[in-house]
Amino acid sequence: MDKKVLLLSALLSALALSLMGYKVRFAGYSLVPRPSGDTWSVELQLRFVGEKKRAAVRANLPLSNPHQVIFDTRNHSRQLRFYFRQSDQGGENILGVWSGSAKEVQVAIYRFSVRTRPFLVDPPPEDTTSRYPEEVARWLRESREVPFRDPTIQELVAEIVPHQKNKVAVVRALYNFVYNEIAFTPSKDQMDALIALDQKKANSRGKARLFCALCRAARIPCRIIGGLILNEGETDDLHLWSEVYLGGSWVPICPTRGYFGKVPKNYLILRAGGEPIFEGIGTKSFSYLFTITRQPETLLQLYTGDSSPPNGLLRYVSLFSLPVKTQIFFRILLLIPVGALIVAIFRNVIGVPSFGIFTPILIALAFRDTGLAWGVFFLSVVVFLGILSRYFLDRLQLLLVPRLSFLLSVVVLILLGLSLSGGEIGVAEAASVALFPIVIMTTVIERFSITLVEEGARAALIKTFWTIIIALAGYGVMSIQWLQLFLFAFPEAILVVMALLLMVGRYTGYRVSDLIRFRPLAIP
Amino acid sequence: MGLIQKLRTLGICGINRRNAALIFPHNPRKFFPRVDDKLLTKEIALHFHVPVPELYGVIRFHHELGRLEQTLAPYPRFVIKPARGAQGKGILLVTGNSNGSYLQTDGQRFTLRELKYYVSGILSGLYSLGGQVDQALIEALIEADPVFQKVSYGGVPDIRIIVYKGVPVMSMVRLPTRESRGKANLHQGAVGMGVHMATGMSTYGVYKNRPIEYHPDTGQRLAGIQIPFWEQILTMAAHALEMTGLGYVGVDLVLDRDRGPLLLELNARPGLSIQIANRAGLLPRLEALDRLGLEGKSPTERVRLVQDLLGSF
Repeated sequence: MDKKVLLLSALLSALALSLMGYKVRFAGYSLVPRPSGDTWSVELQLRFVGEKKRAAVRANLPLSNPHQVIFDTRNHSRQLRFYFRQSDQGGENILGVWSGSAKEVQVAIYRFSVRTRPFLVDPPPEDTTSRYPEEVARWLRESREVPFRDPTIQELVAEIVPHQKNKVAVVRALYNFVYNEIAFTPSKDQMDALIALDQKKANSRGKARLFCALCRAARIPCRIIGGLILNEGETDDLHLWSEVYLGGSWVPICPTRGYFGKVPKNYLILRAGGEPIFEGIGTKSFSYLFTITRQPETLLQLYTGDSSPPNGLLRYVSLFSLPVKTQIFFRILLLIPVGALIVAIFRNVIGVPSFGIFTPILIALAFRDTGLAWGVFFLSVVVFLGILSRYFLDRLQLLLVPRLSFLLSVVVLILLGLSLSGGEIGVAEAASVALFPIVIMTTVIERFSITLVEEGARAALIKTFWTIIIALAGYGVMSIQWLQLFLFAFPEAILVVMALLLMVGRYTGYRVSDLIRFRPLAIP
Repeated sequence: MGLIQKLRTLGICGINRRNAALIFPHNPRKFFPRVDDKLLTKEIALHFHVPVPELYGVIRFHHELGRLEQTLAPYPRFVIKPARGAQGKGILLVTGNSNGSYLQTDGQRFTLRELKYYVSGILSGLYSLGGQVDQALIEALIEADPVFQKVSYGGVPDIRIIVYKGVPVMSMVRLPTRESRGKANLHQGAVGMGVHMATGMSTYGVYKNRPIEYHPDTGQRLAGIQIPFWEQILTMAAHALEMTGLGYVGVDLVLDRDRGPLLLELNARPGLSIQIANRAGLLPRLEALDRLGLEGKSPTERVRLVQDLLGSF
C-alpha cells in the first residue's frame, strides 16, 4: 500500500489516540461507560375525599442522608395548602401536609429525584453496652406497634438467646429467627408482632415489628424504618425494615429480604420511627401511588462520573457543553462516518453493487425514524410500486422525468394512506411517518426505476437487495448504544474512521466479488 | 486463502487494482469525453484516418422527432444508438421497414410512434452515463464478416482490445447468442473468445463467467479461428493512445463484410472479463511493458512490440 497513505493514516490515528489519552488520563474520562442506574425519579400521587368541610393528609417525605441524596423536589396541588412539618418523633423525619376543603376528590403530586448508595454499616464483633444515650434509649420503650413486654415475646427471647451478653450475637440470633422461621406474605394488612408470631407468616411490616419487639425485649435499641423499594413501575407497597443500635451506630437489618448490616441502594428511607408513613385526617377515602422511573444519566456522567461541565481546554472542544437538542443531533451525526466506512467496505472490499454511495446509509438513518420493521416494509412497498409502474406507465409512453414525478406523487399518496390507516388501527409508527424517511424513500424509488429501465429487472432487484443489506448493516452498527456514546465522548475517534477510510481507499487487493468471478481460472 | 495466491500468480487484475493502478494514473479525466461521446470519437477517428461505420444522421432535439420518418426514409437498415450510452445500452438495430413498422434484429417490431418514444428516451438521457441529456446517432448497420458465422447467433460480433500505453495487450471476440438477443455484450449473455495477440488466432471461450469450448447455440468449436486483417486491427487499436490521450483503454472493432475492420467505440473503463476469456491475467503483460521504454514509439512500432514481446502470451 502507498507509503503516503499509510503515513497519513498513522498520523490521524495518533492524533485521535493522543486526544483520547489526554481525556482519560487528565480529565477523568473513562473509556467504558460507568454503570448507570442509581438515580431515580419518583412521583407520589395522593388522592383523597374529605368527610367534612376540611381534610388533610400527611405523608413522610424522604430526606437526604449519607445513603440517599434527594434533589429537585416539586409539589403540585392546586387547591390544597401544602406545608412541611417536623415529625413528632424527632428531627430525623419530615412530614408533608396537604390540607384543604375537600368535598370533591383532591389530588396532590409530589415529585423528587433521588440518588442512592448501598447502605453498609458493619456491626462490631461484640457489644456489651448496657447504658445508652437518651436519643437512643427512646427506642427501647414500648409502643403500640412494638409490644415487647408481651409474655409471648419475652418467652421467645429467653428461648432464642438464653444467657447471651454479646448483643451482636443476640441480634444475629433474633434476625435469623425472624428471617428463617417467619414466612413472607405480600399481604397489605396492618400486621403486628404478635399476629406475625402467631401465624408464623407476615409481610414486611409484621416482620419488622416482630424483630423490633424481640430486640427491645432483649434490651437492645431497635427502630422500624419505613420506606420504599425503588423499581421501575407503579406501586403503593411500602417496605419496612429495621435498624439496631450496635457498637455506637445504627445498623440496618432487613429480616424480610435477608440483609444484615446493609441494605441495597434501591431502598429509599421515608421515615425512621413508628408512626404511619401516610395518614389521612378527616378523610372519607384516601389512596397513594408511587410512580418510579430511572433517571437517565447524562452522557457526561457516564463518561466522567461528574455532572459539572469540563474545565480547561476541554470546555471548548467537548460536545457536552452543547445544548441538549444539539447533543442528540450530534450523537446521530457522528455515526455517519462510521456508516460511510461500512459502505466503503461493502463496495470496495466485498464488491457488492448498490444504489448510490450514501443511499444505504440514508436508508439506515430513515430506519431509525420509522423503526426497522416499518422501514423495510415501506421500502418494499416502494420497490414494488416501481416494478408495477414499469408495466403500467410504460403503456402510456410518458417522457422520463414526468413519469418519475408521477410515480413520486403516487408514493406520497400511498404513504399518506398508510399513515392514516395506521392511525386508525392504532399503529403509532405508521401514523408518524416523518418527512426525512419519505424523502429518502423517494430517492430510492427514483434510482430503482432508472436502474429498472436501464439495466433490467434482475440488476435492479440485485442492487435493491444489496442496498438493503448494507442499510441493515449500517443500522445495526448505528444502533449500538455504546458506540453512540463513545463517539460522543471521544469525537476524535472519527479521525480513526478517516484513517481506515484512507486505507480502504488505497486497497488494491481483490474484492470478494473478484474472487468469485475469477475462481474458474484457478481451478485447472 | 489459496485462491488469492493462485490468482496473484496468474497475474489477474481485480477491479480495485484496475481503478487505482491503471485507470486513475493513466486516464486523465479531461479526455473522457473523447471516448464517452461517440460522436466525438467518430470525429477523432476520421482525423486519424481510422475507418468507422457510416454516420447517417444525428438527432439532437425532441422537436426533430417530428421529421423522424423522413430522416430514416433513405435507409432501410440502420442502427440508432445514444451518443453517450454505456455498456451497449440503448442500441437499436433495425433490419427492415414494412408498412411503417420497423423490424429489429431480435424480431421485435416498432411502430413509428414507438420508435419516436424510444428516441426521445435517448434524448432525455435514459441510457446515457449519469442521465445527462444526449443525442441519438443513426449509423449504418454492419454486415458481419462471415469468419465468425459459425460461432455466433444473430447480431454482429465485435473485437475488444485492451490497449496499454498504446500497445495492444489482450483481446477477445464477443459473440452474440440467442440469450443475448443479438447483442455482443458479455453481461447480457454473449460469448467471449480469447485471442492470441501475436497471431490473431482464437484460443478459449467464456460464457456467463464460465469457461466453455463450444458455442452454446451453434455447438461449434471456439478455438482455432483465424481473425482476418489482424495486423491492420492491431494498428488501428494502437492509435488509441494518440486518439484519446488515455493510457488504459478498451477498443471495440467490428469486421464489416465489405469494408473490413471498423472502429466502433472506445472505452475508458474496460471490463476485466477479458482475462477469463483468455484464461490469463493482464498484470504480467502490463508489467513486461512497464519495463520497456515506450516513449516516442509510433503505432506501427508498438504493434511490432506485440509480436516480439507478447509472442509467448
